[in-house]
Amino acid sequence: MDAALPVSSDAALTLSVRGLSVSFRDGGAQVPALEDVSFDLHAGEVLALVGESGSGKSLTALAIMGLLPGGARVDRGTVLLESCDLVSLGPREMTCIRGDRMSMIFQEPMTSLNPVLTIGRQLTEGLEIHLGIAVATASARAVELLRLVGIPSPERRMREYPHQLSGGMRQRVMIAMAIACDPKLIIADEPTTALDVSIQAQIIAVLAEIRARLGTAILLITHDLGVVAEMADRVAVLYSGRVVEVAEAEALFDAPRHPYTQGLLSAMPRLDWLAAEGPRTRLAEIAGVVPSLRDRPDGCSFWPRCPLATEQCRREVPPLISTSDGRVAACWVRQVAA
Amino acid sequence: MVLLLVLLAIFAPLLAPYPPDQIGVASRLAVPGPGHWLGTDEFGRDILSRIMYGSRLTLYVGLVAVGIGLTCGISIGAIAAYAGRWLGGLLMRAIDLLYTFPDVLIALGLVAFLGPSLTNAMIAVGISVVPYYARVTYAIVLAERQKTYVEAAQVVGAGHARIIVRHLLPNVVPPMIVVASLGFSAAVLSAAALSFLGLGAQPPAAEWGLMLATGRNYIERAPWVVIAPGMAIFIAVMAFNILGDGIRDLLDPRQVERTF
Amino acid sequence: MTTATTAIAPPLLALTGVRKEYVPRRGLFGGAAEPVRAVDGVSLSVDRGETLGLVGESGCGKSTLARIILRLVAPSAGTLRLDGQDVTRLSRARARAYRRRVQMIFQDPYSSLNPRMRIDTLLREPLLIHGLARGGAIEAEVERLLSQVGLATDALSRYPHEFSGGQRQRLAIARAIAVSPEVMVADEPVSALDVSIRAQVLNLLADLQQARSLAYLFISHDIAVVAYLSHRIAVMYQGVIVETGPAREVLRHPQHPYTEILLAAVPVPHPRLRNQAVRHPTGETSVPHGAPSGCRYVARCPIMQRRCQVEPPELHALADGHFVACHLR
Repeated sequence: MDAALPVSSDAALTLSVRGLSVSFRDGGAQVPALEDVSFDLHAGEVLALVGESGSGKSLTALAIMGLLPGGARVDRGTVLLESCDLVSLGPREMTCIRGDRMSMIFQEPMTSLNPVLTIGRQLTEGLEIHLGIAVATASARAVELLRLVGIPSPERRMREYPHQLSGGMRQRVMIAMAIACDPKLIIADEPTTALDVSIQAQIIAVLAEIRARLGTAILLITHDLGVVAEMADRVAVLYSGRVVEVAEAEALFDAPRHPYTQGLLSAMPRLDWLAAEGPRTRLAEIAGVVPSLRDRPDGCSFWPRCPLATEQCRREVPPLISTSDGRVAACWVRQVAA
Repeated sequence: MVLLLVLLAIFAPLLAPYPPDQIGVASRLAVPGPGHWLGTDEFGRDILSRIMYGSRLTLYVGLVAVGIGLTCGISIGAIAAYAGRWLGGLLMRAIDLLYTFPDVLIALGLVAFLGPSLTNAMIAVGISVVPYYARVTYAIVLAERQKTYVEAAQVVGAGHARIIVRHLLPNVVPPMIVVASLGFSAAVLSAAALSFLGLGAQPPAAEWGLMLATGRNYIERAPWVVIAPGMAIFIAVMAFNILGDGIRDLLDPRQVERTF
Repeated sequence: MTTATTAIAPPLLALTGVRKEYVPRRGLFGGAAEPVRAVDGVSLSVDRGETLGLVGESGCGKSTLARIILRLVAPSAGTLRLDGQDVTRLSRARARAYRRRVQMIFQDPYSSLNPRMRIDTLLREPLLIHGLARGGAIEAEVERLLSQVGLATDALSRYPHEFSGGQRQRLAIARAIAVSPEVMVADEPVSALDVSIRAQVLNLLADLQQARSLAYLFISHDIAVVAYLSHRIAVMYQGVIVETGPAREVLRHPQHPYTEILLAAVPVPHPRLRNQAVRHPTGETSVPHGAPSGCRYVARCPIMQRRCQVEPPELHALADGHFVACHLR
């Protein structure tokens, strides 16, 4: 399996997920939700984990953070954060690592901020806990952080409550909290989905700035290929709990290898086509529905929707392997280099 | 457990070893043992038989009281929530006013007004819980009304009556049944309390609260006279609470899809 | 825009100067509550077989506008015309007749279908209310509707929660087309759906329009999605239309600075194009209180001038059918 994922970067390996399998209890049975998920993330790199609902992308994030919901558990696999296996850590050790060496940005900035505490208090709290610094130092650092994420007049904002801020500002505060302890890894779970289009672009810019300045690795979890195109260096595509393709972002958009990735890209309405002359082209569709984890088909999960499916696809799960042209995908048909 | 209780109530005449009112002068305050499983009371009546017959009254009281409370409560709550504005506000303020008094106090006042009898106690208990049901219904309807399917029904052309009856009620009644089954135990308790105070069932009726009240004079000589009806009330209340929880789990057709 | 002479047939659906004010609830200690103008003087029209795309960010009043058109909310001012007839205020019977001609698809297919109703009942309801079919004909009609939205008839005996988001949106569409409407308002119909399902629903909407020459008012915050279906586009900001025109014209030559920013904010379609785009629009939308003295966009506008602060710009024509509300264009 490791051979399939060529180490392309010289940068230090920040996060290495290997063979991660997660299942959750449903009635009496264990339903597998993630199967054999593997990927690497280097310092200063943005890896996008792309998938639809039920693909397991958020579950992957939660598994890495050690925040799996009740009933879900890690069955197999390792999650190495700078050579420290997070899966084997106890809850108390995880609490130390969370917020310090890795942190998370959630989709909905309103519910993830405590409404009865001031922005300043929420920011300094983490600093005091993890860095053990004095209150005065902490609040000076908090102001600095707010400035770093582009919040105007940060001293004033420190005294305000979350409801006094707009959605975009709240997400900036979330980012400030996430980078407070200078983490090695930020997991951003749909950081722009709840925001307006014009605010989305601002948040993407903030994240890009942070990555450039602090060299933080970012695991970007999203369903939106536009966001991927905007900020990802590499992309891992998840479908129904399995990684189906891993590629450099440009290569993926140039020539997607897995039929699912291909379908996703061509189903995206694109402005540049629409503004062009000539009759409108019909959007390509991916037929069928996203399978629920409970009745995932045998073999490749994508075969019922796949235009290329063969008999083998229906029976056997394709492994994630690299082809001779250096592409990594899990597809029986596309095993041979194009 | 509730089923057992219901069966017991229905088949009490067949199951009870003695008629509930059969007086046995010879066996007054008999110790529990073979012959009289739970002993006898001051008139020598078999306590087990009286408990069994009492279950009929208890269920009856609970049913009627909750029925009254539920019917009035749902109507008032639903109308208040749907009408909104001043009518809704007025209704709910009135309900709030009633709500500030404890149920039993309202029931006591009503019985004092209507005169002590089991029927009046049932009515009183029923009315005293109306504010509770009205409040809960109000909250549920208000929440459901926010959902888009109500607007969608309006768009399709459904009138007010249709929206209330076909769309809102099916979504409001199931949670209300849960609330009612939990409220059942409260009603049983209130009715027993009224009987205990002499404002409900009148002797010689085999009613648990009443049995408790008359039995307390003999508590030192024959504790079983009090323990048995006390336990019966306790078990019935427990049973209905458990039933309520069960129904809540059962009635939700949206077996919550867990999506990660 | 209102110079329609009798020689030209009136547009199918036309809004003129529609306004909606909300008076926010007063706090505990009173305080002068100024009305919030969710929609402030919107005029627009849609014709048969045409899609008008309405773009705007959250809180711009686009959903309120949809609700006004569906008569779920009464406008504070302005008129609503269907086929030239004023339908702003209607008797109960005529309101029902109106609902046969104007339908809506909601954003969230999880809450717009009554969870305790079977699909069968849900689809029959509009037919029964409007007396469109009887007895056995209803069944045939319901099955026909299902097949039109690409679902099998075994769906009938099931409940909404048994379907995926995309399927539910198909069901909602089936319910909306049951009465054979002429106008369909679609409020963010695909934004709650998975990416791979969106294209299916968008294509279904396009097919239905062709088959039934439906008029769509397609509302979305996503300009790329709007652009895919729309013949014309209207851009809404804080309750007013700031630009409207033929879709391609607006996309290629946006005139209002806000439209420009919206277009610039659309994510690039390929990573290689990342740095070419004009970036980083600033500022955020705030809720409008009362009537602003000038242009609503001054707070964010990069080309704002003195005049913009005092005088609200009117929509004026630039080219054929292309209107913009900006003093500087």
